[in-house]
Amino acid sequence: MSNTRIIVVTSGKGGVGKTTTSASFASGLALRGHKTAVVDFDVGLRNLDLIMGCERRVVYDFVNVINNEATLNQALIKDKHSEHLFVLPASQTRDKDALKEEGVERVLNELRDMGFQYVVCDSPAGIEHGAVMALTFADEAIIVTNPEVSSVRDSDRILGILQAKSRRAKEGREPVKEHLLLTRYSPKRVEEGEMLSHEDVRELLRIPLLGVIPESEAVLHASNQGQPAIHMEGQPVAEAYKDVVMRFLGEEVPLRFIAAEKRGLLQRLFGGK
Amino acid sequence: MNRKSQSFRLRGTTVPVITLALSSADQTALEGDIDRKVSEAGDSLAGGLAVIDLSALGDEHPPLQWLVAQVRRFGLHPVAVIGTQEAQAEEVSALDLAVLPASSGSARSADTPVREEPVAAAPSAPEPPASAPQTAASARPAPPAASAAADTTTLVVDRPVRSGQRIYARGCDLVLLAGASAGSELIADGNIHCYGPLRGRALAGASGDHEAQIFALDFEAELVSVAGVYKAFERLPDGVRGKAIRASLEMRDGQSQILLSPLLIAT
Repeated sequence: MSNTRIIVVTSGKGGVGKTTTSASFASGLALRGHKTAVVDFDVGLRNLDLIMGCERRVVYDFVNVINNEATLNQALIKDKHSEHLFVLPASQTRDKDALKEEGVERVLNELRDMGFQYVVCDSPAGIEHGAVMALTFADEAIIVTNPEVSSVRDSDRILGILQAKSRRAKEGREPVKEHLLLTRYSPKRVEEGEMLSHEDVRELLRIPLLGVIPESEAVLHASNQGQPAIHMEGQPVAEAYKDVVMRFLGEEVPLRFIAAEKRGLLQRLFGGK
Repeated sequence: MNRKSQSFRLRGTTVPVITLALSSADQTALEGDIDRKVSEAGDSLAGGLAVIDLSALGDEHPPLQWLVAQVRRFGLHPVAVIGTQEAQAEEVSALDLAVLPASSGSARSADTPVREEPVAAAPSAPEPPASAPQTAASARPAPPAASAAADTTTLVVDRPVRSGQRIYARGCDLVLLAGASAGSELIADGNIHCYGPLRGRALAGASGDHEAQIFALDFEAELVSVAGVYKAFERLPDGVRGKAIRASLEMRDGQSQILLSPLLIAT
């Protein structure tokens, strides 16, 4: 028995940064030397391979493996940055019903047998079948939330579903470990009262905060280039994701990028933004 | 010394029991009535426990063995007989039934409230109780006797109740230790006590108990209701939001309405 941890990256709401987070978080675990697989559960849309920059190497996908049309070894794509990271892409030509529970369980067990330490499941948006399949076998959950009310509400909803539908809950085992990750955080807009603060969100959801990822143009750049944001050297986003991985691995790292940048005297005098 | 029994525990338990209370000794009439009742009830009572109550009859009553067979037609398991004459005690125990004194069993209502486990997700949640919010003006009539029973246990929930979850404390109080999120629904036939933030919809006295109340240390509810009379908050008043509040029913101008008052804590 290996001690594989299955981590679902989920949110309920779409467009909050699940796939960006899955790619960067999985890459960060691999950079730290952990054998990691990242699995795209968003069957029908398929974004993870684009962000990981491996879309041209997709031959077989998750659904092929579930249907026994390909082996896991045939479908897993080795990451170009790290030898410890593998991508299991989603199918673009099927729908989410192709994710059969027994099939998903079998594939996850095979990954376990292959000695993966971490399996990161990139959940589709919503609370339907695909999202439920992504969280069913999770040991831990990263709840990706934007600092706005509707996103917080959807995160709350998905936490309830996690409590009800995960295997851990159904079998009465220790509950899924929940982590809050705030993304697209703009300290300036928080200061101006346009956005919820990380304290507000934590108070509303009442789960431990794993990290705060600042809003950044670099994320768009990174995904257009097919490169997880964590590889954007020197960018606050990359630093924030590295902090998240360290905290996840149990290190104490203070929160960064949560205060608005101080504007210099000249900027203040001339009102530059 | 504190000694524990390792292999078992003896506990007093209250379980619902169906009473078959006879008002006639006429076997033919009984059989006809029971036929009808059995076809009505289907297997809704199957698996339950039953007590045969003869206390309304005199010395004359149908043979016990026949009565036991009638009870079994409902799928019920007969466990005891109430109100038998001493002379029949032997017959009763020969049927492996207990003899109960007339006062103990018959006083208890047949529909003893049953506590319901928290139901996590809405799809599998129980049917909403009959008195989900109505208009404020239509206060419900006096509570049915069964729902007023206060002797049931409390349902305690120690994790946050999340958006989209519904918890129903059937026939008892609901205690929330970790609060409830906006979009959750909390229903109790008794009172609701909330020690964390109360942000969802809270419906106390759901089967009509006008005396039920809602107690919250951090009140931010979207809606509160007592016995079907409700008040929704588009915006919480400043003196209420985040405060320790209790919600109850008061009569004003002949109409029931929700009263919010501070939760007074003696110091």
